[in-house]
Amino acid sequence: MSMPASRLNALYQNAKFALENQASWTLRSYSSPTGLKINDELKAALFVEGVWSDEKFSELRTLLRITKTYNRALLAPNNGEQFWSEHYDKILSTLKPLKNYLPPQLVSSLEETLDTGKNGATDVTALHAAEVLRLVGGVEGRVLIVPERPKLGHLARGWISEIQLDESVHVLTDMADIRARLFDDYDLVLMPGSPTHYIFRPNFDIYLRALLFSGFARKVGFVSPSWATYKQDTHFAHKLLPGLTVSGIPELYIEADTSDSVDMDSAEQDLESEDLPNYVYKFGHFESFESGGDQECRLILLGGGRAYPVEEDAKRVSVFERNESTGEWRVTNKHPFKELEPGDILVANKDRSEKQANRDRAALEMGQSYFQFETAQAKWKGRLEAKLQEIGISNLEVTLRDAGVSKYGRVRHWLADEAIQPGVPRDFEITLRYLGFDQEEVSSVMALARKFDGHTSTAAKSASLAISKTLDEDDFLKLESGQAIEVHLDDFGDASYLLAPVQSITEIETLTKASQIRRVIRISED
Amino acid sequence: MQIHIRDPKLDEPWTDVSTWFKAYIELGIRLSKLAKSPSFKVSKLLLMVPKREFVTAAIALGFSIDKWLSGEQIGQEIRPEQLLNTAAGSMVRLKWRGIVWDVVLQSAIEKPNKTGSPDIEVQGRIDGRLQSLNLRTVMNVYLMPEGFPEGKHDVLTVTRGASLVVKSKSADLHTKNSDQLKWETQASPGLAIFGDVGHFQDQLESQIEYPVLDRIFQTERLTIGEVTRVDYLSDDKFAHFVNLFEQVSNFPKPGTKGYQKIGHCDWVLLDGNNATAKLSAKELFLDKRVISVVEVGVPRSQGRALEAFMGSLNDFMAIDATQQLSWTPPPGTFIWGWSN
Repeated sequence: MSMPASRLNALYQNAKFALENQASWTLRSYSSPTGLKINDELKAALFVEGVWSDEKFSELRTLLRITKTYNRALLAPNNGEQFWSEHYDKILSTLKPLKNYLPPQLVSSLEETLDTGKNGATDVTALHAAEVLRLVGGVEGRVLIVPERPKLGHLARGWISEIQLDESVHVLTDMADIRARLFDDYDLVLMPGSPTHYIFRPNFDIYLRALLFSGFARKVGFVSPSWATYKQDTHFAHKLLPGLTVSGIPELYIEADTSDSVDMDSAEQDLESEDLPNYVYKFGHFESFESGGDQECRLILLGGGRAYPVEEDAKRVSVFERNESTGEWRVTNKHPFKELEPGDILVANKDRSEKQANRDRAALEMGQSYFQFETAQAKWKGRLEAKLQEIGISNLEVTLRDAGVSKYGRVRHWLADEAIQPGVPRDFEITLRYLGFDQEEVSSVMALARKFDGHTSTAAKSASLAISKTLDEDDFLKLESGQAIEVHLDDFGDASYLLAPVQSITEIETLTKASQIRRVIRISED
Repeated sequence: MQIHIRDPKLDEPWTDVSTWFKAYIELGIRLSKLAKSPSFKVSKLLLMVPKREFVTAAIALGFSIDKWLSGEQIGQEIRPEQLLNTAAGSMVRLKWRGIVWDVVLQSAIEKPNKTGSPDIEVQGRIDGRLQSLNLRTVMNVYLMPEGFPEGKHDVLTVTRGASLVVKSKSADLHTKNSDQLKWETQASPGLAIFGDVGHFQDQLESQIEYPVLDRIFQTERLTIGEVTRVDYLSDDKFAHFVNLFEQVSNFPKPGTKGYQKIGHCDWVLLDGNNATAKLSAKELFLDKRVISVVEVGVPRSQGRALEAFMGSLNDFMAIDATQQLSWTPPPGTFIWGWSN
């Protein structure tokens, strides 16, 4: 669906404003002495030679890296009190059995750092939040906060809900939402981190380009403590298009508490010491820490090291097949465990979940009511996240169970971006009331969610038709010879689909996010 | 001078898009003019825009305007009797007032008539079907290049927007003036556009209000399709041959008529990230002037498109596109150029 001309005008006007007004792009660099102490101590620990290459320390290293990142970028309810308390407990319980294997000096300095962190982390988070709020308060219109990582986004959303700014401040927890959000009006895109940290994230340049160069908002703001702000930040935008000379972009205006800035070598060390690869550790797959919402899934194996996780209670997956009598190819549905067979051509979202792609399409078709739905959804998810941070997951599940919610065990999944709402309507209603919504609000929220659900079903059908029309002769030849192909639909939420023959379906269950292509490293029979 | 557009399907009001739409029209005019200039070295352009909506349409309008102002026509005008010595298989355009036939010549003979000077009678094929035509009242005959689209076109019929008014003998029916007939029959290929058909069709059906157009149409309000003179590569409907469109998945194979038609066009335009990602590496484009429109507001496909485009530039040299074109992009738009 095309963007209305009035909205196109706004994009060009935003770009014009940004170019013509000084300080439309800013980097706020503030002093944070406690944060600096924690940061430097963690960095020193992570660069002790001859230790961290040992596999048995990898979990501890990951937790320390997470600490270093969240130390400078966290926004969370109650200044992250619940988060930091649980997090430092995890580190201490991980460290305890490893003490005898680590150099004593390192153990001692780690314990000191952890002590500083336990006592000072919430102050560091509070200061960061205050600086972010200062920037938010400086604009009249809506603000979009773009966190570095999905988990940071979920926590930020809880914080926004806590301070009751849901209507005017949105948090981008799924970067693929950018396309749909171009239809909305924002005064400021706010990134709680320095440009260098955003550019360092693998494959993030595409999102930065979309947010900065599309006229998304009139202003862009970065907020970072001075010890995580770098000399190279000034020219960050020129690095977003390698091989191309970029001109005609706003200059980054720096507002700093100190004239000190960190040089290139230190920047590289910082980035290395915060590198958080996909890693399975005993608290679950790292992605579950990042985004929450893993479920137990069986895997449809597709060859080439690829798998498509499907929830145990899933009733259908999309397949691409040829109608024998008409010779036409079409997308249809099959039950993944009762009807799907090896050789069937599975149609699966590659970069994101199928629901997310259909969701984007539905967003475009719903017009203004989509934003009402989205605001309502952000509100209840924000309150749910805040509750989770306040009382912890176990207590939250028990509370919901006692209130009559049947699928209380799925509460963490409801916070995930691709979750539209609790699957059982009665569960949704009870949960909304528990979160403090009155009857009128409950009815309104549920009606909007039903409308959105209807549109996503239509979108799914439209996407299926579009897939058939997009394939050319070469694609059909590849499919007929048993090869996999990729299809990209710009007009369907910027979604990529993989069409691949099914090899087999595992019986064992794996904890992961469903409905999105995954790369299989190893399947354990344990 | 202001430009307003409106999508009747969205039921939106007329919107003034002058600031950026005009800039893209100007780009189209520049590209069309410079294509014929021996000193113009640019062969590849990357145009990065916030969203692709109406960008290609505006560029196509620029081509349409420049072609009109230049009065250029491909094909060589000949006298009807020269058809007697023209080889069978040649592409021929026959123009009467309001009727245009583009046929593959099979044979031409002289046929005696009562006046004494013989008529020329032609046998020609359109899409394989044989037609016999008497050229007594023909106004112009042209020898057209190989690959020119075949068809029979009645351009006297009045069109309003996207709907066709059936021709009537009523005296009240407005007929077209000579400028309009020239507009609708001009053969001067400019742009060959590849993109996503649903998206582009929406834009062709959108309405535009641009005072400069009333010189030709006696109205300021038309559809974008009418003013850009876009025809479909694989489904030729109109007598004009100025701008072509085809969907990415239907890119023609070498040796086909569609492939030949692209060869006649001054520029190829890849409309959007999907077109750029899928078609940048096409062999046909090695020696063709190509402009890729990449929309930066669609993150994932934007990354793929840029990668594919940059990957196709192996032996090309970067040049200053704004200087070469004497064109400044509107804020939010970026342009880069290469020569070979």
